[in-house]
Amino acid sequence: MKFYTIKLHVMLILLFSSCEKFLAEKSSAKIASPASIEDVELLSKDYGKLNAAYPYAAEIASDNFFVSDEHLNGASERERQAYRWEPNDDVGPFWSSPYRAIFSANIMIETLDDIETDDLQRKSNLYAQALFWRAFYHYALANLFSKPYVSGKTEADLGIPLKRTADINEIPQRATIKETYDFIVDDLKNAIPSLALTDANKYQPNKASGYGLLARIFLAMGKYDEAVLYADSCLQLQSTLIDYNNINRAQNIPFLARNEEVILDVQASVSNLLNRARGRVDTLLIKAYDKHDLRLEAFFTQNDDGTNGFKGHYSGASAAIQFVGLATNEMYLIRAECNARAGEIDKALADLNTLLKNRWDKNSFSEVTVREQETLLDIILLERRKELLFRCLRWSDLRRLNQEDKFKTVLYRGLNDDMLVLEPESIRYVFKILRESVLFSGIEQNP
Amino acid sequence: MAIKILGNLLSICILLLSAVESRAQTGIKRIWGEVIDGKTGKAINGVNMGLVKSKTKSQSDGTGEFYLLLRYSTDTLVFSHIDYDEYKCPVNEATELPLLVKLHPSTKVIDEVVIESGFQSIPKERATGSYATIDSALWNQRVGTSVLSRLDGLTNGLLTNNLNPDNPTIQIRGVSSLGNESMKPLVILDNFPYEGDLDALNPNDIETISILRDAAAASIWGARAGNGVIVIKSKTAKTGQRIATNVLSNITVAPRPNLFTANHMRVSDYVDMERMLYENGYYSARFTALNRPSIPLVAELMEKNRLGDLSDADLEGRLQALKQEDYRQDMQNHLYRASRNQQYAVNISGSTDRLNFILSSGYDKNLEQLAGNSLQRFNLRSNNTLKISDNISMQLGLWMAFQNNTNNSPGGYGDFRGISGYDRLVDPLGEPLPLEIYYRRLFTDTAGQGQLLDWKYRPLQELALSDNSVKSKDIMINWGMDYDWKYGLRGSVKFQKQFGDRRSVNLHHSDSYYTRNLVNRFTQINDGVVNNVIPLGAINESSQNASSSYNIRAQIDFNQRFGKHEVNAIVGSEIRDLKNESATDVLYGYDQDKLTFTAIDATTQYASLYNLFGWNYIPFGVNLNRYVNRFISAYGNAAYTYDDKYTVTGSMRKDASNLFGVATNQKWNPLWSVGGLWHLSKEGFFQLSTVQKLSVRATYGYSGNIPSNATALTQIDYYTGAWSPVNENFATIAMGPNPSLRWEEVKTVNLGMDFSLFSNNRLQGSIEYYKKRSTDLFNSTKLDPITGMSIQPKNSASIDGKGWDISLSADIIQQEFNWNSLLLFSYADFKVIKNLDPPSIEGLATSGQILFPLEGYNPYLIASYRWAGLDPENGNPRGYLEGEISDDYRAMRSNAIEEQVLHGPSLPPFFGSWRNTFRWKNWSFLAGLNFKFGHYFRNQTLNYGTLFQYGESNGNEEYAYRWKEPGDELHTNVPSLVYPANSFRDNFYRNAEINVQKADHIRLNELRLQYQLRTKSTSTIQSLSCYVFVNNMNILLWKANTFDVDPENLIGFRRPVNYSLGIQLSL
Repeated sequence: MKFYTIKLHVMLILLFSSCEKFLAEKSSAKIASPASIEDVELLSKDYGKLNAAYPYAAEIASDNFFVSDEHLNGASERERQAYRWEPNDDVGPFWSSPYRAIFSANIMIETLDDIETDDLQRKSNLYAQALFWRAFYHYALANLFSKPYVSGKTEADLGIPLKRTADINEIPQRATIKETYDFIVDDLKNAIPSLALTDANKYQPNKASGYGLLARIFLAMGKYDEAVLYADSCLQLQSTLIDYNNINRAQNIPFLARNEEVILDVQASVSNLLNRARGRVDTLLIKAYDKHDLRLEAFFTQNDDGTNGFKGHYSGASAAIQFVGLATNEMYLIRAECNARAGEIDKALADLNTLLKNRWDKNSFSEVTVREQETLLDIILLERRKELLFRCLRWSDLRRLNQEDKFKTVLYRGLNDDMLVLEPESIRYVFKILRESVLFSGIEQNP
Repeated sequence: MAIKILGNLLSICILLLSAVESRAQTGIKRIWGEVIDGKTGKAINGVNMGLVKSKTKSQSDGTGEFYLLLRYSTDTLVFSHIDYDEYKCPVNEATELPLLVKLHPSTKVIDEVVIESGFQSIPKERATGSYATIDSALWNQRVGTSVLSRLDGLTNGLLTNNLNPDNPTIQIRGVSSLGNESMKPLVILDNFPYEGDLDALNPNDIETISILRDAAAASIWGARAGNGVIVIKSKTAKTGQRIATNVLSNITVAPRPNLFTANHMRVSDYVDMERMLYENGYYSARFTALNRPSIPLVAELMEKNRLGDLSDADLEGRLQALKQEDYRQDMQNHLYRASRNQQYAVNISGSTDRLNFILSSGYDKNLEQLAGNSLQRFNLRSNNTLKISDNISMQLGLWMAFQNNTNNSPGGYGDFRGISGYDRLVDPLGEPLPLEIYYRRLFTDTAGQGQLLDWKYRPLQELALSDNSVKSKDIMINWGMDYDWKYGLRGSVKFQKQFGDRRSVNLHHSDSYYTRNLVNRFTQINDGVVNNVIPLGAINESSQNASSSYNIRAQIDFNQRFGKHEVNAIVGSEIRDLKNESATDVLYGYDQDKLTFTAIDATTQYASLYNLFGWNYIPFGVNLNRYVNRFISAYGNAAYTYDDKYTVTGSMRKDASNLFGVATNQKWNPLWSVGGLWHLSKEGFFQLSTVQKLSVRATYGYSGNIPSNATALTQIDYYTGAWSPVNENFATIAMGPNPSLRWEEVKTVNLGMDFSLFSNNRLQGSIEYYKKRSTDLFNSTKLDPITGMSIQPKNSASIDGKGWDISLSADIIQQEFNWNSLLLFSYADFKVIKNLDPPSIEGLATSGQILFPLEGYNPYLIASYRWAGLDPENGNPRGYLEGEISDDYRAMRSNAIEEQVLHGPSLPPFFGSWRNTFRWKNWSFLAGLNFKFGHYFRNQTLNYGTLFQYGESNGNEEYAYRWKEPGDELHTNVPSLVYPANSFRDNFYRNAEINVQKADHIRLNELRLQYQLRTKSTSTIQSLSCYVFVNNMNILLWKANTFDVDPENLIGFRRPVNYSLGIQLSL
């Protein structure tokens, strides 16, 4: 009996020790599972999922534009409610498409974990790209669905669920805001060393993209001393600006996709309201441009009723495809603002003037020379509005600047002879989470 | 391996020869006689007997007779049988013959039924689980080519689901899964799962079939046993059995079907309808359409009349004449025939001291009712067990099946879409006529002005021009080794290798319509120069499917009795690998004799002739596939019996597979069961003289089921740069990984009672009650978008089931005239209790034909719109919208579930059979009834839309009874004809409650009359029986519906009755 028990054990051990390999066989050759570095490379070029998945809700809710009642009624319920700052938990792709991109990134990461290759550089680069995208879209979500990061104030408040694995059975609950931003910053810091120094195609993230995104995020977090460093690192790798004097500004589409200023090409999906025929640019904002400012012609279309539409997207498309990626002009403005806040007036002025020189008619351009810190900061912030409109950046700027008393802004929308108001402290600065996620997984809903 | 097999075959031949020789010896006295039951006087089959001195052994046959050769002048003859006490008697040369030996039933065991689990044979006395067995006597009552068709109604709990008549599936105890494929029970052939074609099995090679129904019975098969297990055991030779030869032959015929029994629209109505359609301009688009669609003759005549080429009088005359035509007679005469199935089987089996062998073969030839379709099958099997020493034996088996199916029929009733009721298939001289269902007749008359191939489609001609066959070969090799050690321990190793090769060839001859049409369509005519893009010659479409699998199993058995304690246990492990590769191919310009073909360019788009269909690629269906399934399993089970009264059992199995996710494979999460059995009637206190036997059983446990197409891996799709805004090749994720993918789990509680009442066990039976819960069923699921996917199939749904299985067998008369009655009754009720992706219930209207897993309801629910009668004004069907009578069909599609009529399931919760056998002397007569209760069906209805579009094949005799004028609504429910047809209106009417009725029925299904000739043991012929078997009788003795239809034969003509005549001979 004993002999047999031993023999049986030996038999079972022999069987099961080799079983892992035996069971590793794919069950169908038709089911292509990502298994090679080439597969991951191909996944990294999935433009539709990675580069064109940005939620444009932030722009709809911002104050860069307004629409007529008629156009508003023709829009989808989702866009209408975002525009009217109404609580709505049917946010659909605003919530789901970033997570879909994060899913792709996680698949890339987990596939690479299992791949053994001698081409370590390629592997670590793809790994870094995936980390970058995971951070990029987590930040996009944090910007919509949780309060802004305010040091010492909101850090312990609810952030967003952090999806760290591709396992569809793993559903994380919401992390705190601090955990959320730590996770994002960690991913980016881990990614940067392995990102390519240059990448000609501009839709796969490179090192400049990594620095640029960190600069954008630290700015939004109010960590200006760090933002300036990363903006600087980014500009050291790529600093080209387009001289608007040299482009055909009257063209219907003045800017190409992935042009010289673009560091990383990312687009938001098509919005009905933001279409240049419907979304009219805020009239006060238009008035802020000097008549010698070439952006007036390059950025705006003229409507018959005297209003203006926006055509200055860096997405090279006529439809309302917003460019929401990273570009050098944003970096100049980040560095200028941070330097101004730090009292580095010369540095701030230098960046501001470098940018404006490329935006103004060269025959009538005169450099900004204001040295008074507060005034200079005001000028830089106004230039930021004038330069970076329709990039989904205004929303995070509003959330950030509303934390400072002197920059608090109340938003108004005229509607059916009604006036809607968004106060600086309004809870509507945080969107409601998609109903399905709340129902399925008990994710805590925003008020 | 091949040498081994050859060697075996050789040894069998030698044995056979020597056996024949030994019979020829003379001068030794032959002892013969009959063994009967001392109580009932019935002959006993299979009694072993031996002469002590000469060590000669023999066995009694079906008539209880035996013979032996006496080599010594005096000897002792010993009779033994598992159910009877041993009996010894001295014999000598003067013993009076024949010997009449009466054996007395042993007090220990009265039930000899042995259950096969695929791992061990379990005496029913010790089985706690729910097993049903079909023994060879019951099995052989039926005649038929396929195993599955012979199962229905022979055992309870098993239902053949015929909702899809083309793909009937077997359900054991209801529905435990939510996929049509994953619902099928596991089939075990001898020791291993059989994944091949069940139709390849020779039904005459089957000894017994055991159905494992509850967890205790099935969980030893682990993750694949959730739908129940059917264990098929092939015939083997018994130890001590003399050499016997069985020869069997039968022929089954069914008359040519009568197409006039089908629900068919009157031809005169049809002509009038087409005329009405023409007058309404229904066909006007067809007259000008670029792709020259077919136009019915009536419309062509009307058009001719409009153009002035046909006078009004001639038109009326022609139309009147058409009303007298009918294609059904042509079809019945030329496309159908009387079917004839022939079956032959021979097997030789026997045993010597060292070797048990069986060699069997079978041949089937079926000419099906559709002319041109036939089946041939040849089976060969050998199974030999060689005793190498007292405790080592080796087993070697070989099984082969060759099948050849031809499917040359162009189709039958209902298959010709667009046919008009007055169309004909042959002219008065018997020449095939064209059927203009693909193109307009005027177009095919003249197209190409002689530059094209004939473009007419003649169904009868096609019969001779197609060569569509499926040939398959299945080969299985078994090898096993057993070692009997001391202390009741036994070790065994088993190995099985299986190969299957299935080749289907569809050769379209150069003159076939398929080829001519394709050649014509791709013909390029430029300035009168004809260029055939498709090479002239035959087109050969072929596909090949090769499967192979192997199984290896090592097992240790322990069977020991210590006084009143008895332990029976097995433990083992197995691995299994199943591969399947398939490839399809098309060859153009194919020459069957020279085996040549012409290459074509499948990557260029060609303009179709006259731009009939725009630009097209040449069809080129090359497709390759490969599947690999792998399993590793460990299992064990144990039974402990005390005093032959109490038994407790337990079993456990763990499976790992490459289909499951990592998380599942790593978890030690076995499927298990426990059970208990108490033989109440063996207790001392049990003093009921009428109760011979009473035992109760209870089990609890889990088994699993593997969803088809499930994979734990991420799936990605590849795209070329054309799909990308940045013009780069890329890949995107199609389905996410699911590392927790696991088997579906079925939990079963089973309570059973077996009893035997009155003297001679006159009434025997069992009653079982079960409750099941199937969880983790694989079904599409809405996911939290956080996962990155919104929908994905996942282990997510649950079904609850409960039911009863009752079987009663009564010897009502036990005289010379004997009447046995077997009643099988099952109740199976189930409902979906969880579904994370519930189907929309707005405007819920279902036919019950497909799975519709709605929480709280049977997944085969039939639901309808409430019916408010026909509108007296216009004959519109009406229902209810928000409580008001309405004919807003579109709006009613959003009715809430509460406003709909929920009838019930389309599968019967109550079903069973009642079989009565009468015996008198050598005669026996069997009548089998089937019954099904408690389910519903939706009758076929008139659908104006499809009738207009597809013609007569969608007709319905209801047309004659449609609402025509106010007042008709009092005696008809058939809506008025409206033009144009409104599909919402048609759908509403079809899905209205009036078309659903109870499907309950009792059916007289089979009759069998048999004459069995008993011969003396001295004769060479041991037994001879002849029988007549009538099957498929379709005589409804009772039905609940008032539509006067057979709820199981709703579409098409009445299925003809099968008559079989057979003979069976044992030598």
